[in-house]
Amino acid sequence: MKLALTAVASLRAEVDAARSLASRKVEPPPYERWCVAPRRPGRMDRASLHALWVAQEALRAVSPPERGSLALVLGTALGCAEVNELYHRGLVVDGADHASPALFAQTIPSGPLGEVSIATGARGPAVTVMAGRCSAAAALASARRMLLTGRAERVLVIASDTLGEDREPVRAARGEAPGAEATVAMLLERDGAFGRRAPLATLAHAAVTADEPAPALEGVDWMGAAAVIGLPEWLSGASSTLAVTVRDGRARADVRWAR
Amino acid sequence: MTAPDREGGGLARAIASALRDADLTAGDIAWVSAHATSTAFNDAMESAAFAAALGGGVVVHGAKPVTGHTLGACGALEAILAIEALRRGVRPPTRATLELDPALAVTLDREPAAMSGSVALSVNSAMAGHNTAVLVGLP
Repeated sequence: MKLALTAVASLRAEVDAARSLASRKVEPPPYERWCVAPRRPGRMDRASLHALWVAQEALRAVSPPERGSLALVLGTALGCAEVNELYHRGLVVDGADHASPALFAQTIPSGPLGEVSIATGARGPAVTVMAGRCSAAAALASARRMLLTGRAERVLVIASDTLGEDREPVRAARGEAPGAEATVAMLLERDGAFGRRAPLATLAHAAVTADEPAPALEGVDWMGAAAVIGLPEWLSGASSTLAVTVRDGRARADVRWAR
Repeated sequence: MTAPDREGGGLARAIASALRDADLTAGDIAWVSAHATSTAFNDAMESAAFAAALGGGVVVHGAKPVTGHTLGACGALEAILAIEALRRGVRPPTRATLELDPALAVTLDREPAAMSGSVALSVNSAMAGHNTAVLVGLP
């Protein structure tokens, strides 16, 4: 069975040819009303805002009945870590009366998938996986299993990490590469499920395995989206395959796409 | 800020999906470990979901009066408890001190009771509409 990639949407920080970051953050353009009511974005966390925008873009050609059975998988390295920190800082520093209810509701890494489900009407299985820089590959592997075992016929995979407070001094002290925001949505569908949507590529392989520890990343750290950050560029190029390997600690992720 | 589906639709779908995956039916389930936060919306939502997915009247257990709400760990903790209950053949009691809301279509054990089957269901729910259903069974 072939697993077709039928839509891709991405948000990511700007990087120049020397792999320098013009900005570590990226703001989503405006949402459409079918996806998010106008007043809702103001109450959402940054990860949900990113996830909703790429979901909106990737699902443009998917009808409401098709969205009803859509499965969702999110891969993220940081998850809600920064929201957790903000929430607990308020709780510890200012006391329980000052713990933010709005932040508390966002202190789960799967929160963005809940927002996507509510906004798009997706009512299939929803799974969040956290595997460091291998998170995108782990999410693709999870989606692949859902499709191959018949648990879903189409899956929206989102790989995302967003940055809240400025962690660069901490990262620099640890010798880590600068972190940058990236969120990529990929619509994967089984043979026969994509109707008139043209397949862009085929997911040939996605797996996370144990490997020897690897040195820290060089250049820019795309965190949980590391394994899929180059996918949009590959789709606009001419080569027939894209193979990506990412390592994090002892984990090794391999993803292979084909035309 | 956040609230569950009043009809328990998400949890009912998760339970139905777990039963399909396991090739089991509602009648195979001997005991249910509920999320059971003892909050009005959650408990009513779970009762509605059990009625929709299992037919209602199920024997449920709430661990949180004993363990507290362990947040992200409670799903694993309560699944382990379900496995141990099956392994020992005993339905542990729910140590709640308040009366059960009569609107809830569930039965609680006040004392240990014999487990009459080999499959248990452990469910949990979280903010933003997340629901999980895990079926565990004796080999």
